[in-house]
Amino acid sequence: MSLRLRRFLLLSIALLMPQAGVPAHAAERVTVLTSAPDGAYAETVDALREGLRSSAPAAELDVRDWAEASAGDLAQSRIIVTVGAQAAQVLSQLEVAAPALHVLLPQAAYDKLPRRRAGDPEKSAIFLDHPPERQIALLRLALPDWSRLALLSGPNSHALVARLGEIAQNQGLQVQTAAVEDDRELYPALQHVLAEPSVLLATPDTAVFNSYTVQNVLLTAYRQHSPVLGFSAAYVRAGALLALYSTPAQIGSQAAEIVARSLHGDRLPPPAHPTGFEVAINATVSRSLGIRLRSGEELAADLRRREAARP
Amino acid sequence: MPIYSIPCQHRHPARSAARGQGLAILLGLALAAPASAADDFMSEEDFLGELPIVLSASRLAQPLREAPGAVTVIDRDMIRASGARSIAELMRWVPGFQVGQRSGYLPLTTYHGLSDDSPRRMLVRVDGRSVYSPYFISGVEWHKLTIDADDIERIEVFRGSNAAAFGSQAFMGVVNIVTRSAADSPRFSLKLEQGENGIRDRSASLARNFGAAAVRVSVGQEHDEGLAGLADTSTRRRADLRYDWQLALDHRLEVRAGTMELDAQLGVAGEATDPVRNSASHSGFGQVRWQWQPAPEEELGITYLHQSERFRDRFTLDSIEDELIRRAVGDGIPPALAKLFLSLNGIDADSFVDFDYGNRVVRDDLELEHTLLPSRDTRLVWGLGHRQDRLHSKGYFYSDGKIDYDSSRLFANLEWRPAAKWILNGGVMVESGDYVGTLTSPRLAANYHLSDAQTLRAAVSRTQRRPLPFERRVDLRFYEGRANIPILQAFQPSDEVEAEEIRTRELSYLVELRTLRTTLDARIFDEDARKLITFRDEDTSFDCLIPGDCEARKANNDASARIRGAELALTWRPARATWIGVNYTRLHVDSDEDNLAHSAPTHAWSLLSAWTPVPAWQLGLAWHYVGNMRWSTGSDKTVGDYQRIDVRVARRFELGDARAELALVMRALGGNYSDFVPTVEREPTASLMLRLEL
Repeated sequence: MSLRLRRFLLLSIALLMPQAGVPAHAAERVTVLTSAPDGAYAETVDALREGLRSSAPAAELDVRDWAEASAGDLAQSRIIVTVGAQAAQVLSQLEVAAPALHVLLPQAAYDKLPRRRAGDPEKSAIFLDHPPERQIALLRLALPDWSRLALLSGPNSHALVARLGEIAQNQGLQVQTAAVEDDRELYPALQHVLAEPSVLLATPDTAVFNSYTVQNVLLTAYRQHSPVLGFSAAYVRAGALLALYSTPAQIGSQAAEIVARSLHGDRLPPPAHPTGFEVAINATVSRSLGIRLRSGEELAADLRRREAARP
Repeated sequence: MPIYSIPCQHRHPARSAARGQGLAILLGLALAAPASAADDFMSEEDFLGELPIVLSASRLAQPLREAPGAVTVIDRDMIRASGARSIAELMRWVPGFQVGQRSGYLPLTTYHGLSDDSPRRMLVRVDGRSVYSPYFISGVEWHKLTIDADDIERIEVFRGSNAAAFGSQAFMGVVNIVTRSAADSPRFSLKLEQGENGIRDRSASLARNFGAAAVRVSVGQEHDEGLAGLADTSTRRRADLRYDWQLALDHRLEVRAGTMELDAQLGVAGEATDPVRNSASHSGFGQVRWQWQPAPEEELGITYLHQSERFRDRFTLDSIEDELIRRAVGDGIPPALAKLFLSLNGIDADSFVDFDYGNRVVRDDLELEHTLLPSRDTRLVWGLGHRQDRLHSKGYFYSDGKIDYDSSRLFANLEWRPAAKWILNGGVMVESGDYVGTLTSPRLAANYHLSDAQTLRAAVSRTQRRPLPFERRVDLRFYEGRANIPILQAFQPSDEVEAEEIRTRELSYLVELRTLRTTLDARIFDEDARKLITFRDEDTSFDCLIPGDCEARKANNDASARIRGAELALTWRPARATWIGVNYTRLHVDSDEDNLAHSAPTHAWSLLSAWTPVPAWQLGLAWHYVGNMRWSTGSDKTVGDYQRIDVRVARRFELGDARAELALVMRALGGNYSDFVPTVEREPTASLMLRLEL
């Protein structure tokens, strides 16, 4: 696309927007709608503020609780950042013209938001989920001797599990998959996929992996000498061997980059997985299972290097 | 690792919560029901919320290479493939253990010999509950377990003294049985076994998860006709409950309860003083454990146990005159003179003696245990506890009152990694209680990792064992029932009997070749046991009827034994359901006491293997060779060396929604053998077992 054509298109879009004539003083306002004022939400907002301080000093952050959101107030914003699924849902119900960036929410929650129609403002997201490629790459990196992968698919994760299985098979792993449609099916499913020691990859599907089933999952896996790769730091505390996750601060920093570019006139990028991540390991579980692991920091650094080297 | 303060309500599909509540109310158990009618909607909480600590320090098995002593682990697959009907039988596959069968329902187990027909120098624990019965004669009462073999997660056998961790009853070894969590049990299972020798075993278990709580109930009944030549037909009924409730993310409550009843024949046909009769024993317990886990590596637990036991065994000997004449004749007195002597002492044809070997025991135990990591390289487990046993047995103690047997304990074990290749373990148990004051049992072990696969270990320990009420206060006497004429005293009290002591030294070499799936565990040891308690006849002040009967057995500390030997365990396990494990034990017991010197076989071999050529079929083969030995009951009771071969063929299949298994178990295929006394033989038996799991 030639530069001239792009300028023309941008201009056309700007002219089509109903609030094309917003007052100049509101030009840099960034409204942040949070699902809660503290904890991980506050950490995300802090990192966003910190990031914008250097990349977009003119940006003015207006942080609000989701309950205080109204279409009128938000009309003044250049861009709206929602933190958490609740805030994203609230915003999606409002008639607002500014582009929206949804962060700190699972991909499944984003997919449940109303689809963008022609003429709707731009929207994008940074998911909490990590790409299947990254998860399998971590697995190969951390546990190179393990050739068996166990997966459980639930009502919300058939596609994801299929994708994980496909990537793992391409990497030469043997994959055992079982479907769990009901929590009663969890026990036999675990027995089936862990018939031989395998790495069990937990996927973010509440129907299968939740704070109640975690007991059954971790105990069965441990008994079958099978390590678990979790998707949150809490998984490692609970007894998973390792976990791949992003901190709220990492998500906030990534959001700051996108917001800054948007304020500079760029379009929002498509929804994406986090770029920054951590790897946590449970040293006690690794010792008890007799698995030697590199430190979480080493694994994360190695994984980042490999991703950076990839074209 | 950052901890994000996302408030975590337990989110779960609503249907489980509703069903859970219903069943919980049915069971009369309080349940923290999830408040929100949650749905499958994902939120950031799934990624950022906290989870309960599932694999806490107390649930994780210590890796063999880091343990302060030799440990044999028998897991669920091995238990199943062995075809063993009783948990005690599994000790055949632990190096250094001897297993005998006193009667069909009374298995005997001991480690490195030194046992009579009532082993009391090792400890059995189920989920932290001591099954040791320090009441009368035998310490290890396997038949009082309320669990089924299918309820077991794994058995960790610590070979050698471990009083520093578990108290002085772990004098020579500890068997720790860990049951499977209720959350990790099939929803429903049924097991039926029918076979020769009247084998009729039935068991069923039910497990349910209700949100944050999980419960498992199992019931069972076992019946068989015992050993050939003995009157020992028995029926055992048992029920067991496990309830795990995650009160909050860092609080857990575990409730265990169980009850067992055994109706069994005992006695010897034709023996006037030990006639064939029926006995009944009952045991029931409840245990509550509250655990607080502020961090994955820190745990504070408080456990309270209440247990009560009853044993009924009463009979009357009517022909006391004939029996006494027989005894007098044995002492060289002519029959006519004996009869005259007895009648002068008031004994005639109508005289009788009431025997009552019954007892009642109540135990309460409270323990606090704290696990923590004081620094990056250290791990500390410390705790304290108090146990109170109240015994009542007029027959054994010649007393209507209760006998108290209390002890308090304070223990600490510190694991320290001064360097990457070194692990040092130091522990001590201090116990104070009745009879012998304060006992101190320390242990020190150093593990050195020669490489990733090889570990060397050296360990020393000293253990003291407190005398049991039976050893110290037994007073078993017999009186003619009509006129209360004293006849004889069989056992007399021994106020001066002291604690036993054992000092152990060992060197081990452990090889774990992960890629070859092979483990080798070799160990040499030197155990010096002193002041061992044995019984011998001594003069008694009891006013006995027949002058030749004026001796009664009395405990003393005169025996000692030096045990030296080696244990070797080699396991190759290419797959979970296929393995071969071979154990060899060489033992030499040096003792002035002839019974002790012969109390362990010089050579013993065992093999446990399973082969699963296709997932549907499994072949299990077990073999055991034991050299000649004696359960210290007399020089004429030495049992010759024997072999035993067990074979199990199992076929797995689907039956509707259920996973089924049909197995043919053939025990003692090699023919009759004796493992307790030469006159009691064990015969080959075959049985068929069906298991269904949903």
